[in-house]
Amino acid sequence: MIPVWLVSILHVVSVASAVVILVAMGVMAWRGWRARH
Amino acid sequence: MFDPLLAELSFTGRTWELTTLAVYLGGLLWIGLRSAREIHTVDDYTVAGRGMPWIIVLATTAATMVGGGASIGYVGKCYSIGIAAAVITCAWHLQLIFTGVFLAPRLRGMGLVTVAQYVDRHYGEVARRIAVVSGAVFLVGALVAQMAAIGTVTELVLGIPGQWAVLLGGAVVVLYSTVGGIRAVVKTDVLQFVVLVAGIGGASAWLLWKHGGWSGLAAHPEVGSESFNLTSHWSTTRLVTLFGAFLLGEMMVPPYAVRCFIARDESAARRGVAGGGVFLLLFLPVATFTLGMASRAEPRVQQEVQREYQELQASNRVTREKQLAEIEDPAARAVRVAEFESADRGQAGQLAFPVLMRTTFPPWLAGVMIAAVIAAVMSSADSCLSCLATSVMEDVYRVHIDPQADDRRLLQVARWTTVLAGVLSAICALIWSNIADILEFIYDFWAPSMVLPFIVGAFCYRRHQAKAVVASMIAGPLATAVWRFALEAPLDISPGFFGAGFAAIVYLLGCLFLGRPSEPVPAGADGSDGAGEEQS
Repeated sequence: MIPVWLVSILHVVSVASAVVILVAMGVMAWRGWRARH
Repeated sequence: MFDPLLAELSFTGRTWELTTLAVYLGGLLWIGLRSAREIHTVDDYTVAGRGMPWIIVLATTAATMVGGGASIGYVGKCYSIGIAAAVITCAWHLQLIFTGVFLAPRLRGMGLVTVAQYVDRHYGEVARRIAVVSGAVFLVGALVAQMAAIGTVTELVLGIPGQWAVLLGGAVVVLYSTVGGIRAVVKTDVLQFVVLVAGIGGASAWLLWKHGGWSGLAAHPEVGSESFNLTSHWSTTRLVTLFGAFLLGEMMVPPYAVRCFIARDESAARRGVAGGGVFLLLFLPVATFTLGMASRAEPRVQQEVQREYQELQASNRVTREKQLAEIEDPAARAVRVAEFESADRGQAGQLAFPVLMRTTFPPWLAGVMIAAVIAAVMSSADSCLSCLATSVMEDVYRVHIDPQADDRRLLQVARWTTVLAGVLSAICALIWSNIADILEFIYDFWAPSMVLPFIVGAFCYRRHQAKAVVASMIAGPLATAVWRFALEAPLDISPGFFGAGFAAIVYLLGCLFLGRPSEPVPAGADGSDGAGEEQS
C-alpha cells in the first residue's frame, strides 16, 4: 500500500519537474534565437 | 467509438479540437520541410551531424519514450488496476537512466551510426547479422504498432475513422521524416515533447485541483484505498517479472541508441539520455496515475467504459463460448473466464483518457490534450521510421550491396526506404491493429537477443567470449518462443523475462565451455571502452 501523502508529494514533484524543464527549454530557445539574430 | 459523446459535443468544441490538430500537424510539416535545407551529407540525415546539445537529446529521448502505450494505454491501465500500473512503468525510465549513465557515453565515443555496428565491433559478423534482423523485427513491429496507434487514438479522441487517420497521420510522419531525416525527427520531437509535457502536466494539475487535491480524490468512493495497493490486481510474481520485462524490453533499442549517436559529445549523450530518464521518472508515472484516478472519479467516464465493456463482452461471446466448451477442467475454465473479463476490462479502460478529455476539459484544453496524445504517438513512429532507413542504408546497402556508394546515393536509399517503410507499415496497420499484442511480441524478442551483448560489451568484455555472446543471442529468442508459444508462459513469468534469463545462463555456460582466454588484450584495443575510431 502506498500512502496518499507520498503520492501527493510525488505529484508536486511531477508538476514542478514539468515546469522546470519547460522553462529551461524556453530559456535555451531564447538564447539560441538571440545568438542567431 | 463513443458516438453519443460526439453527438453532444458543441460545434465550438469540435472546431477547437480540429483547429488545434490542424495547426499542430501544419507545424510539424513546416518544421520537417525546413530541416531538409540542413541535410547535406549522410551524417546530417542519420545522426544530425552529431551536434545536438544535451537538452535537445533529453527532449527527443523523452518524446520517443512516451508513445501511445505510455500515454493512453497506461492511463487506462491505472484506471483499471490502480497504482501498480504506474509503478511498473518506472522500469522504462530506470532503463533510460542506466543507458544514459553507463552506455550512452561509450556509444557516442565509438562514433557509430547503428546498433549493429556496435555488435559487429565486439562480437563479429554473425552477431552483426543477428543484430540487424533483431533490429529490423523490432523497428517494423514498433512502426506498425505506432501507425495503428495513430489510427486508434485519433478515432478514440476525435471520432475520425481510424483508416483515414492512419493515412493522414502516416503521410505527415513519412513526409517530414523522408525529407528531413533525423534532423526533422529531432526538431519535431522537441515540439512534441513541449506539447506532451504541457498537456499531460497541465491536465493532471488541473484535475487534481478540481477534486480538492489527493486527499479529496483518494476519498472519492470510486477511487478507494485499493487503488493504492500494489498487489490488488497482480500477484507479486507477475509484478516483479513485468517490471523486469519492462526494464529489459526496450533497453538499447535503436531509437534510444540513435539518441546517443546524435549528441554533441559523450557528456551531452550521458546528460541527455539519463536526464530524459530522470525527468520521465519524476514526471510521468504520477501524472498518468492522477489522470487514471481522475477518470474513475468522473461518472461519465465510468458509464462510457462500462458501456464499452458490455459491448466487447457481447461481441466476443460466441467465439469465447466455443473456446470455453473445449476446456474440460472447471478450474481451468474459471481461470480462462477471468482472463477474458480482464482482457475486456483492460481494452475498455483505454477509453478512460479520451472520454475524460472530452467530458471534463474545457474545449481549448481538450484540443491541447488531443494534440499531446497524437504527439506522443507520432514522435515514436517517426523515430522508428528514421532508424529503419538508417539500418537499411548502413547495415544492408553499404555493407552488402555497394560499399563504395557516395553520400548522394546513400541519401537516395535512405529516403526511398523511409517512403516504402512508411507506406507498407501504414498498410499493415490497417490490417493488424492490435497495438498491445504487436508491442508485447517485439519487446519479448528484443531483450533476449540484444540486451546481454550491450551489458557484456560495457562491463565485462573479453574478445574470447564472443562465441558465448553469439550463442546467447541465438538461444535467448528461441527460449522465448518456446516459453511463449509452446508452454503459453506458465507461472506468471513473462516470455521476455524468461528468454533474457535463459540467454544469461547460455552466456555463462558458453564462457566456461566455448573459447579460452589467450593473451591479455591491451586497454582500448578490445572495444570495451570507446572502442574504434570516430566514423567519418
